[in-house]
Amino acid sequence: MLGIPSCKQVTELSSLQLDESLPRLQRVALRVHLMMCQSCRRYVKQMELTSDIVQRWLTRREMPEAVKQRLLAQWREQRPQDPS
Amino acid sequence: MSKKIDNTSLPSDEVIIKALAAYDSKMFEKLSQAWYSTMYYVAASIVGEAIADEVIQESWLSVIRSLSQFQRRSSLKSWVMRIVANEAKTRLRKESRMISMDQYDNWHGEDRFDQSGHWLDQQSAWHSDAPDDILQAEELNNCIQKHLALLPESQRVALTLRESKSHSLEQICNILEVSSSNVRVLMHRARDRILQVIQRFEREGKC
Repeated sequence: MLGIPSCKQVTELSSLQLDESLPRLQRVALRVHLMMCQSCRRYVKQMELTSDIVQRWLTRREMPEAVKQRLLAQWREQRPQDPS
Repeated sequence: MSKKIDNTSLPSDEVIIKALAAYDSKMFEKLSQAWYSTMYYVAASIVGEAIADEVIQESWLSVIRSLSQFQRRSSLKSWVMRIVANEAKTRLRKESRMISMDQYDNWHGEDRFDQSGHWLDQQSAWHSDAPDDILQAEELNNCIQKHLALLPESQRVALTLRESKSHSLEQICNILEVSSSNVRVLMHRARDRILQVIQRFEREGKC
């Protein structure tokens, strides 16, 4: 169908629309496709979830004590000396 | 259980900047702790895990020194993450290394479609719509880690910079020195691959 993306193109758009807003016509065409296609509705939702999951995953590492001590030592060096 | 560090417990950028300018050690400690993980992965995606912590240290030095130049055009966190990425890239250059662009990419996402671009099989649903529910399984956390490490380098950098909410697609183009259509492909493939990892875990319970 003219202008309506294929499922394969929808998977590509599902990533892009997380990064930039799509042109209006493309947004409408995407919505029309999604109305007709359950697999793509699922995929688009899962793409958003995947992005959220990676964002959360990126915050899970804990700072090792040695790193913390080094950073604090460096911070103290940067700090102007108290006049006392 | 994965431990999340909640950014909402930090005060506004305005308050943070004032506190740092006044050399408030408590604020520095809180901030460096809260942002450590993201800084680590941003640095590691570019220079590798072995020297990520060194890059973080250098980055904080730059942040403290150039705080007065922060323009408030973005959030403080994005600005700090961009400094981390730049420090990492500088480090890479010093060691005459580059972000590899021509790594063999065994992405085969196209196999899921027929010639007219329709799904060959129905996409199956996941057990939940909530990221926290899905990340409950510690095994999936490890699985994501494994597959992020297996991504071609340029895809891993693009995904990390983007999902750390610090870089626009255009800024990622500049870091990777690729065109905007290239960076869209990298983003889609990286996210699609992690999506497929979660999909398999949802379906088969294994990595």
